[in-house]
Amino acid sequence: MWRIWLLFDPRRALIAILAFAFFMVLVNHFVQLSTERYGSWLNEPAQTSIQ
Amino acid sequence: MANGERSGSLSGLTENEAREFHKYFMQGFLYFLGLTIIAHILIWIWRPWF
Repeated sequence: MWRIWLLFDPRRALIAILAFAFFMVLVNHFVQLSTERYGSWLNEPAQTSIQ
Repeated sequence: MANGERSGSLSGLTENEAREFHKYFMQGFLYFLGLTIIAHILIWIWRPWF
């Protein structure tokens, strides 16, 4: 597995991985915010889980 | 290059450098994975999704 770093330059690979991860995290959080079940964690008072 | 281009690999790293980087890369990845698992456990406790 370490041989991958003989192919790809670690600096560019790290930047690409971090950029992609950041994009995915951004998208996923907004997707969750748009759902009915999880979309309220910003604008609701702390309540117990929905029964 | 500074350390003399003898690695012959596409990325320019020698075998040892690649092995060493991979060790730290995997360590960082496991920390990330651990945090992610903890976060999901906390969310599951708050609102299970199944």
